[in-house]
Amino acid sequence: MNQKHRPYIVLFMLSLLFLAGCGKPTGNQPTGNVVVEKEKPVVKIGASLSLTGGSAFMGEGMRNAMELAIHNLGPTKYKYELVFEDDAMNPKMAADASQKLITIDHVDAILSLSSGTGNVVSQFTQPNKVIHFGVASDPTVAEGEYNFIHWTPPEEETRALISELERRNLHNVAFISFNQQGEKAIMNDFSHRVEGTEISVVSTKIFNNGEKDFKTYLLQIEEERPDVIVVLAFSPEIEIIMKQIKELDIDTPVTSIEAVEFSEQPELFEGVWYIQAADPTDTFLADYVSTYGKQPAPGTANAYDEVNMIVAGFERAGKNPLKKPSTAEVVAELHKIKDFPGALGPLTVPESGIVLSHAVVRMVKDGKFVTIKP
Amino acid sequence: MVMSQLVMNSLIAGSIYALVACGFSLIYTTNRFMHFAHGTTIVAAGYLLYQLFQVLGIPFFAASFVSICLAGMLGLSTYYYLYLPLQKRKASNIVLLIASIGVLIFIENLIQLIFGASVKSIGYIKIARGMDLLGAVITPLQLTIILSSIILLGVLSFLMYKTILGRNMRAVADNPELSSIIGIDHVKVSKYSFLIGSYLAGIAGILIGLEQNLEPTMGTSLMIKGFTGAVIGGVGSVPAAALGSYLLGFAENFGIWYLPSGYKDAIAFILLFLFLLFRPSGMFGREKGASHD
Amino acid sequence: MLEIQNLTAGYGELEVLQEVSLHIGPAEIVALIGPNGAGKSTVIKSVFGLTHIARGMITFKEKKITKMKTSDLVGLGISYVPQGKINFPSLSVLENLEIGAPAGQDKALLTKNLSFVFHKFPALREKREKPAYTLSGGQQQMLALGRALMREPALLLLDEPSLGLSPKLQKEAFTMINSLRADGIAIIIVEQNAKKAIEIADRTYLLEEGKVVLEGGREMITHKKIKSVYLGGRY
Repeated sequence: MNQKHRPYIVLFMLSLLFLAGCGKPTGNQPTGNVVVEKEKPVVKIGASLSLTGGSAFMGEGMRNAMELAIHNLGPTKYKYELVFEDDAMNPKMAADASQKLITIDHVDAILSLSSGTGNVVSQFTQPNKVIHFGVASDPTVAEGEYNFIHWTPPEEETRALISELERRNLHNVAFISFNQQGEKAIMNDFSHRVEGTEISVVSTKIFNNGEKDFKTYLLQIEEERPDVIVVLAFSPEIEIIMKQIKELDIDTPVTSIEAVEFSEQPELFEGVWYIQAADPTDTFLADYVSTYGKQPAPGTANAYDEVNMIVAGFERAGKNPLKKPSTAEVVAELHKIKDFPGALGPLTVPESGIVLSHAVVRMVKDGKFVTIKP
Repeated sequence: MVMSQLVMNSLIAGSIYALVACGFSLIYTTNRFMHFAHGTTIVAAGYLLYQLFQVLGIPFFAASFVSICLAGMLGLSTYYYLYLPLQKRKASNIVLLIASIGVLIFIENLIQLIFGASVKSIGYIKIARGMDLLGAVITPLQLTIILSSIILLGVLSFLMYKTILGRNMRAVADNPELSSIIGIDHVKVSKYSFLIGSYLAGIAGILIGLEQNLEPTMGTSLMIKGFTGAVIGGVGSVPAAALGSYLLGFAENFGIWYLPSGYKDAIAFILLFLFLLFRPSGMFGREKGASHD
Repeated sequence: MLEIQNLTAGYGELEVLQEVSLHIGPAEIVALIGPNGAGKSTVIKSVFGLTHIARGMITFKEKKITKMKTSDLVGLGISYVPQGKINFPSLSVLENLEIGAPAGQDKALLTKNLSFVFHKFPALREKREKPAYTLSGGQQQMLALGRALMREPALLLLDEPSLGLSPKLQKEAFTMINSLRADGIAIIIVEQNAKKAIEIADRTYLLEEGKVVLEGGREMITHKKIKSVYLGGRY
């Protein structure tokens, strides 16, 4: 073989490969009147998730769930694709991500994670008629008929918390919380609900992202002699708070909402009871664990359901296999969803767009998460 | 007692900031530009220890020693392969600052790529109730942090004020043109400043990593606090920078005692702003310039 | 001791000096006077390797030193006291002096030189532990001179030693410089104060626009050029 000929040989081989790739038949195709895969209209489901930063474990879980959902789809009228953007749970980055997903990727739907970013994404999706499902506790994320939330609402969790506190006779409550909309919404809701009861909030300490030293906050809280400290924080702050509570020899009982199961140091929470959003079904758990080799994070099962609901919406609304339905039509279908089989149990989408699921009380016993009050 | 706990908390916080500020100030004092990548030297040391001790199972003190040495190398290399060539091309201090930030971003992302974004814990010390000391509760690690900070401060001060190398470092900082006229080797002095400053960063990384766990972006927030402490005390002097850091620790902890809790970060920023505006040479710094009759 | 022959030098592309020649012998004081921008400072900076030398030759004790590196010149016995910020403000007086000594110098020699300097400038001995910025203007000059002497130089290059000093202090400064001559040191001074310069120097060179236009001893003070242009001024 001659030097001069080599480029032509390479080019020829590349062309062969290219042709081979193109002509390859894909997937199972029913016989008869059929639309070839690559001609099916594509529905793009985008996501603005925290793939980096302290909450990356949740963003990654949701991404995995979304891919799992697509993987598990049977034959569908339309082709479903996913587009991921990282927002590090930062509203500004979520704005950039939404912009890109809508104007460049032309997505039909977006999934988001957190109240802060969800509220930003909602501002983009509603006017652009893009469907949006948020995993968020702040109900304003669901304002507008294109915006939905699939997350145990804070009222649910607060309700569960209050009833457990009453059951255990814990009346003076202190909060130490992350400075975020969702957490503030929970504390506000809590204060309203306990008005006129024996429960009262004796101290509230709020910290910003990245805080590593809670010792003085804890000292101040202890001064008020609470019966229980409610920690509204996720990793990494919650572990540091627990560590510092132990080191400062504070024996006031501690509780939390949502975060305990997703800590990488469950031994810190031995004996702690906490509020948890709805449990994913065993089927989903088995599927997820066998695929990814680890437990799902908060929001993971929700993302799975969200993708499936969106797909159901498109499949039900679409009458023409060669043309996607409009998102307005899909939204109408979404609002009809009742007892939809989801990873979080049977799901119903009410008028508000906030999908209902229930909170439970659990405890860490011998390193295991045990539901003590469903 | 509450007050002694508050004081203890302040000392611990101040010591952490001082550990950061000392190395940074040493480098700034000698080289007169902001080596923001100092923060990443700290983080890198922490993650190195994690990798060596937690992942590979190398004994703790050996792993720490290696991490500190490598931190020193990292700082020195940054000087030798990045800043020095830029300086030879007559780069301004702004360019060096930008290069420094570039290194910071690069290394933070590298760490995130290798170790992932989630928090890592160096499991050397079991979490346990602290001990009683002077009416406050403090863990052995926290006490070590305070003592290390004070000892290192002493060692650095000795270096700066009682050795020829230290004298030359201060001379280069004071009057760089004159120092080269009288024959001081700038490059040698700078190399030492980066090496020693980065060893300090290594020690800081290990202690802070043990106390606060590891996260790829922790360098940035540590640098902000350390830098603020240095400005409050006086950037041009290592002991002043340390003192300023302690002041910051006290200001933050006593501040949030009396102010609403969300203001903790604001305290640092407000102090930084006030000092930069009204007294940039810091509380213990001297307004530059000799007295005349 | 020092010979400058046909020196053409400047900064970068800019040639400030044009074919300047001068010489100085041991225990001589030579003054360089002239208007701003004449190139006076450039001459001594050139001796010390701080300028770009295009043409010409500089010899020191019969050795060619044109274009030699600054750090090597220091070792040969030439000390330079520049204009402006002349000391290390936060270092103590003692440290300012010690730093002027060659690295790794014999302790006994260092102590000997320190005593010599303190003997010449008793005020410095008093303030030896104090930082340099606490010194008055005159004392700062003393300190700068003292540091230059720590190298036991054969040749001292002083750039405007009286700058910023009150008339009384200027007198003191010049007295100091004069006394150094007794120790065998050759001194080149760049001076704005033409009258004083001529008085103290053995010989004076007048520079204008990078060229030597006049050379002479103390009789120069009566030269019409000097009288009309310079002595009618502020000083």
